[in-house]
Amino acid sequence: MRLYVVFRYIGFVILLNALFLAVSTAISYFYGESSFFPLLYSTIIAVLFGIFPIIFVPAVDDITHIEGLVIVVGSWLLSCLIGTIPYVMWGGEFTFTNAWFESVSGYTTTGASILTEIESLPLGILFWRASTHWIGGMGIIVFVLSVMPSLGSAGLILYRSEMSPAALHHFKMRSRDAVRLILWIYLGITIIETALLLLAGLNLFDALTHAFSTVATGGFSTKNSSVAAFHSLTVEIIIMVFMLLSGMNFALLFSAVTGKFEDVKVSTVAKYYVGINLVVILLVSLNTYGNNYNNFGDALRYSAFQVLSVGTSTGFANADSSVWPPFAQMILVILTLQCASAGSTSGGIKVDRIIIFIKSLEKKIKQILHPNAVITITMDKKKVDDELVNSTILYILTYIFIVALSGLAVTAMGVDMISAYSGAAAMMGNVGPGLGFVGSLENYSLIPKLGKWVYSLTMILGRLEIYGLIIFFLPSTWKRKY
Amino acid sequence: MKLQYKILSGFGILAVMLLVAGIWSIFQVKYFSESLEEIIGSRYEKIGFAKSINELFERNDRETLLTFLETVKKPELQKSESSFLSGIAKFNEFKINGIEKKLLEELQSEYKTYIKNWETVFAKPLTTDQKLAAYKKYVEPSFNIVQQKIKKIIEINQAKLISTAQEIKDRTRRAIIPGVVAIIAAIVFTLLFNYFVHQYMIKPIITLKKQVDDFISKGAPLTFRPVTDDEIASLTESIYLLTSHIDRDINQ
Repeated sequence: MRLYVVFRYIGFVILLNALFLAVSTAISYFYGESSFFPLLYSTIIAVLFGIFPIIFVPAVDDITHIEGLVIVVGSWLLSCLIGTIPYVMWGGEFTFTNAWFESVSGYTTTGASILTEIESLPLGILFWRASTHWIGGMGIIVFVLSVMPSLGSAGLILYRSEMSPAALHHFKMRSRDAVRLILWIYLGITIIETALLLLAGLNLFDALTHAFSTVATGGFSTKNSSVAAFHSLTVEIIIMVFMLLSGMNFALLFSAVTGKFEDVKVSTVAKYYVGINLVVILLVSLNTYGNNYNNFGDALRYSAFQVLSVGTSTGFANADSSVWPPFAQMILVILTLQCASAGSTSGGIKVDRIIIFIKSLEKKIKQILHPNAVITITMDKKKVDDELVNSTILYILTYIFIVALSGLAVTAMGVDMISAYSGAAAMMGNVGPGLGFVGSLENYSLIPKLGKWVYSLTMILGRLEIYGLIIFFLPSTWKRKY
Repeated sequence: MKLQYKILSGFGILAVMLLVAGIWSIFQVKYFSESLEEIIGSRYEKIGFAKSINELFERNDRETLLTFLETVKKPELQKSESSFLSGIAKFNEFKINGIEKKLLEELQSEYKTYIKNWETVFAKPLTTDQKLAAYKKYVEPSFNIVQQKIKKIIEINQAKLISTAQEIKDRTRRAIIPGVVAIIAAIVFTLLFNYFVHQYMIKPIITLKKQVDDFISKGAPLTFRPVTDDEIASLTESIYLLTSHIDRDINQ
């Protein structure tokens, strides 16, 4: 392991964070806020730590797969640490544990907060919170790769290490083109949503921060009661549309934008993703109509928003879903596990893997009925190889095991079962709100200190799709000779 | 980049981190004295003074009532009235904000209404029971309004006292945390700096020395290739030249 190479690439990531910190500092300065110095000092530290390895370590093009993986995981962990500094320095509700939780929640686009009084936060800090979503949503390394000049073969290794394995096959282009495509789609959606939210009556700050959160499928709001605070159906509709778009594979979105609708039409993942969300919206609307809402219009409005918010792993709220009937709540828990498509900014197991899982189940049943038949799993008329099927099933099992373990650990700290397990599922899927006292209009301030650390780890495991973080902490990873 | 600049950049970074944290801590400590002055010198005194205005007003009302019931003579009443009014005038000498100024104006206006109500009641020929009933009906409501205004001034100052104390608490944290962050960052940075110095300065020199030793003892060719473009690279190049000259001389 060439540690110096790892430091050099992480340096670029830290500089990217410094850029957003600088913008937050400027906002804080402009409004004469108490967060000015905390943000300024964090910017200075980030710039100095980012630039130093770049000064010392000469450019290296050839990096190994393991080095790539260490760079990716290291970048995420160090970004979370850098993100903690302004919060800790500003104070208020931010103890170190709370600041770490908030930072991890931001970068992993979970959107779970420990804050009880979001609206009392300075605008600079609120902008930084939203920025962590925006940086993390695209993927820290993918973001760096997209804005930097070509890094040669190192760029390819980093791209492959960062991207979800379930998403890689969707981007049938050079890695350089793929990251640029992701950047343009990401920027495009953000700008359009900001403009629409402005037209809907939000001020520029709220429009931009909510666009950051939506596109990254994050969920941090500038209001205590999330999107519900705007009392605007138009705002909710705009956010719903963009949550749905952000949960779709970006390569498919690009096809749609460039007029290749055929790609979208034949995509099993896209059809399943849109279909399942529509079905679930209808079911939840019918379930809540009469129980929570007296007219179907209201039931549809709140159900659609909450379903899309959870189903895309965003985590915004326009209603308190913890008072909904058990059936509706259970559906939301299932969506928390599934989430949206690979190749999007969404978290969770992802629709792609769920489809492979269903198809492998179908294959097994067929095989029992026809023992001699040769049955293959296909998706979009292409054969899915057994290795991918096995790794998908293993991933789903490991995912559920971690949710169970994380929930168990938090119940051991005295948290009730519903809150602990729904919270664990929401952390692992990077969704944000769970049920019980961590519901859609609540926060994680009541979770014990140690529980917040357990949940932070769960969030990172979910965002890095488990294996990366495990490999990072294996001693053998660090002992490898280059 | 030359070694000199690399080392200088390292120390420069360290200095900037500590310097900024230090300056900020000094700035925050300076703010404490201003905040403490605000709490002790202004708010605390204002609360005490407003409380004494309230006492004066209660005494004024009590004495007016006693005069009304013909227990106390007029001059004593005038004395308590003037004490109350001079209390308000003295409060105006404090550094007051817009809300307080507005409240004081309202207080003075309500006090005038209160006096006017007294005068109206005084002018009527009434029995003792009627006097008490008239007090309850006409004077007491205006008394309550005046007293509410005084209490509001106390409340505002108490709230400000608490918020300033809270701000001092936050500022204390903000004065300490940069120092803590700077110390941790400096330690981490020193380790990083040490690692880079070892990797790009010490290690190449050790390797070069070992290869020169091997060349002298075994005639082994030099294989070391520096990855940086600095003095070590120039030194390596010179040693290569030297060894090639020696090789050539030996072969001749």
